[in-house]
Amino acid sequence: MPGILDIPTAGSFNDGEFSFSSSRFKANLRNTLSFQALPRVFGAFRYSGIGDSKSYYYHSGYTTWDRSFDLRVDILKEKSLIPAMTVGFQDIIGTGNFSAEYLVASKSIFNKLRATAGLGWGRLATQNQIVKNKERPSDGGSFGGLLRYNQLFRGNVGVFGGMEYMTPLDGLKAKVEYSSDNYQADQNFFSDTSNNSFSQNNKLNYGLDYTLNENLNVSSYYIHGNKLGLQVNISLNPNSTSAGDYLEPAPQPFYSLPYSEKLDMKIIWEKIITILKKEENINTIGYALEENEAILLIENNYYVSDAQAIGRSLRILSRYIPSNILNFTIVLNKLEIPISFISVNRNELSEIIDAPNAELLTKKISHIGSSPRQYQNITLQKNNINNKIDFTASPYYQIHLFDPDQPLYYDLGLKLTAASLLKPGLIVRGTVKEPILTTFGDISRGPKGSLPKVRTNIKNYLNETNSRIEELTVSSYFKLSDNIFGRLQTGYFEPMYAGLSSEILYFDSQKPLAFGAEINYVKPREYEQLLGFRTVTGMPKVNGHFSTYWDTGYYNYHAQLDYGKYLAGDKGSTVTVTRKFGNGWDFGGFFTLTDASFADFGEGSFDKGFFFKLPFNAFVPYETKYTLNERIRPILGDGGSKVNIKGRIYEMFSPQRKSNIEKSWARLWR
Amino acid sequence: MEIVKKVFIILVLLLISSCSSIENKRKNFQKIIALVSANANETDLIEISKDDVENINYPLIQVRTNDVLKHAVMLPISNRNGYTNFLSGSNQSITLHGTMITKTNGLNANLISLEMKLNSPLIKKTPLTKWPLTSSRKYTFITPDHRFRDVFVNCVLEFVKNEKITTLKNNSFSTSKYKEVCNNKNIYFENFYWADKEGFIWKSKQWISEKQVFANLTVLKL
Repeated sequence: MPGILDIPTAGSFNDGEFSFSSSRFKANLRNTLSFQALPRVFGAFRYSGIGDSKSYYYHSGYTTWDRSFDLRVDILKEKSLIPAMTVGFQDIIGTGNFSAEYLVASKSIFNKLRATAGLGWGRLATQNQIVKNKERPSDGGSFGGLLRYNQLFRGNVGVFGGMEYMTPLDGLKAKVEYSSDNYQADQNFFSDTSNNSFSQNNKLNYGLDYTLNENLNVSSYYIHGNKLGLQVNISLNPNSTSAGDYLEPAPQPFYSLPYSEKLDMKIIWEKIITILKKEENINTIGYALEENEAILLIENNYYVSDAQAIGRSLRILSRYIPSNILNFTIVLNKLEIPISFISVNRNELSEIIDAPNAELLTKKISHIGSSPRQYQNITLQKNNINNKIDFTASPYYQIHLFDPDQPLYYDLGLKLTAASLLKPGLIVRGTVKEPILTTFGDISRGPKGSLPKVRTNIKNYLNETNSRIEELTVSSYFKLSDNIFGRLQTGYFEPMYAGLSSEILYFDSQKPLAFGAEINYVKPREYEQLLGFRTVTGMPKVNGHFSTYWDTGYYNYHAQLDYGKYLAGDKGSTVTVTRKFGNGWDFGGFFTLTDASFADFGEGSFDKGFFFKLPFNAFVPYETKYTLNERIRPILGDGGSKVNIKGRIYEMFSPQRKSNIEKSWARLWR
Repeated sequence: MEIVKKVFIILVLLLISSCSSIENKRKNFQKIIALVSANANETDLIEISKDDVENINYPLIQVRTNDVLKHAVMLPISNRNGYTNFLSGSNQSITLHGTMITKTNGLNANLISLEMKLNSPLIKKTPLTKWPLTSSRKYTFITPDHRFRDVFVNCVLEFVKNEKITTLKNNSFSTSKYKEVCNNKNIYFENFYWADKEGFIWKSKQWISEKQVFANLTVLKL
């Protein structure tokens, strides 16, 4: 996070920057995942090991492992005469070991120097105090994981500062800082005889920082006058990470006049379907020719941007559809269910398509909306994806984090997935996993808290290192009207639960709000994750939620509020906030508060966590929809837990709705 | 050794599994091979002679960049309202308005729009004596997160010298070389144009990306 070595600086990273850093000096290891959530708001999750480390990560040997969240807000952005100013909350949710608040200002001088000075509370006021003997209240609760609002800006006040100098060597920065943290909080985790204690000889810390490229940065530093440290920082930004477009074929031209007016319409549609499939990787679901309109129903499983699939389809229509048909309509489908449509006049389009700002001009002359439940007089394209079984063999990885005995367990292997769309909206899907390299058999930490053990017995599932069925479901998606969607799903939803799930969603493509309800009848699966079941004492069989979804339109943020009954029978709400970038990157966080007490939940007090989705498309110079998804909970509990169902309606169909198509509108004519 | 083998298998599978169908996997492999070959052969530029283009009954342009695309010959595939789309055999394309590149595809530039005055000598053939010295323009790019990004610049054109250029092998002729300096608060670049007496621009070096990618454009045949 923005800082010199051990003290914070003012200012922020570039908006959207996602980074991982790992630093170590003596027996202090800090791993931090951070995200610049808004131009002025920054959040971080820190996982720290403190103690007598024998080796990195494995056989941890650390006395304690600590999880904590930080939040920073920029009050002032730097200007010619005004410094940047930031207020920060360190370990605002956690055990409180790193608990501190600060107000810091930084200013660049002659582009080479950057000076920083700040006031600290909590851990940042354990030395260099200018206000002394003030009391700081104890942190909140004995189970950790709560917001420490009662401590904010309370207690002694310390001062800190530092300088950074950009050396003549490109990318190399020299740093010095005067720290107000005496590390007494970490000292508590060492025995008196330990050689690894945090005694300080000097409050000045020194360091060198080298930026190799925009994604990688390394630092070495000398801290407390007696310890050497090293830090590696890897960063990615959805706003700037791109592998280029040089292996993606250029689109076909838009034809003012079609290739030939004399062809039979059946041949014309066959040509369109073949070219769309072979050259553009777009599936045709069906087509129709009205008096003055050509309607093409497509399903895009190739381009990250649906706008791009629409653009390419329009170009192909222009090549073959007779010139007397003036209007083109492209209908975006998912699982062969029509979701949204775009209609445009071909002559108006051909006038502007090569002009500057063609994309914006196209938006003005297009009509985008929710598709009707069914299109009449459609010739359905058979032998497309219907009745075909799509097999995928791919590697998988799974990690189990934050066990103090061993913070990282891994499971690598081969995953086989088969899916078949039997008819529009009706899909059968199954996944089998075969581990190859795994340490999951060593996981030993078991249940906790006093709720029914609906999640904390996960160890028994993870210990299963033979072939297992991850998922085996039959799902039916359907539209009850233009804007009301339904889902019925049965089978083995996830490694821990099977059952029956039904959902309904009101989802108007033109509106930012959507409302849904879900009810599930679930049974716990046997630990072997084959076809059998087991029972969990005290767990109700029925759970469900009412959900509200809001596409805020603010920096691509989506919010979701769920209210209902969770797996363990507790009732309450989950708030989820996600930033969805137009190119497929997602970053978000969630928390759940229910009527289960913090004591019943156990360590961590309540369910919370964060997640991200990284699309491979950003790293390879051609189109792919493959993504890396990770959901991280600092502490897994039984309270606030939902059954994990793949393909809830909003998740399944929101990519095709109007606001999402418009998010990547710039790619319309690519 | 067994572990290394298993890790290798997983990495290979990870590489090929970015799409589900066999057809897509095959295409991805071909693309990776194309990329490796392109990097290996980046210095092999072909010199084109008059004989090579004589029997081609279309205008021809040559595009070279300082990025991945080293050399491409392009044919016009459509012309509408003064905008001409050119396509290369390896599927890169550009749109030209006069001599100016207004859109690119497959050039790692992501230029989707260039707005400037329609009576500019860079768009409309104008005798050199009537070339204005200053102009402004707006470039629009697609950002990696699929947004529009506009770049406004002011440009100043100046005569450099008379210079002989060779567009085709053994085909040299005299032109006037002009330098155009364009900038705003954050960006600076220089374009170059080589025009004959009537103001037709036979050759140019144009800025097409904020990553400082330049396209060298030569008209091989009108």
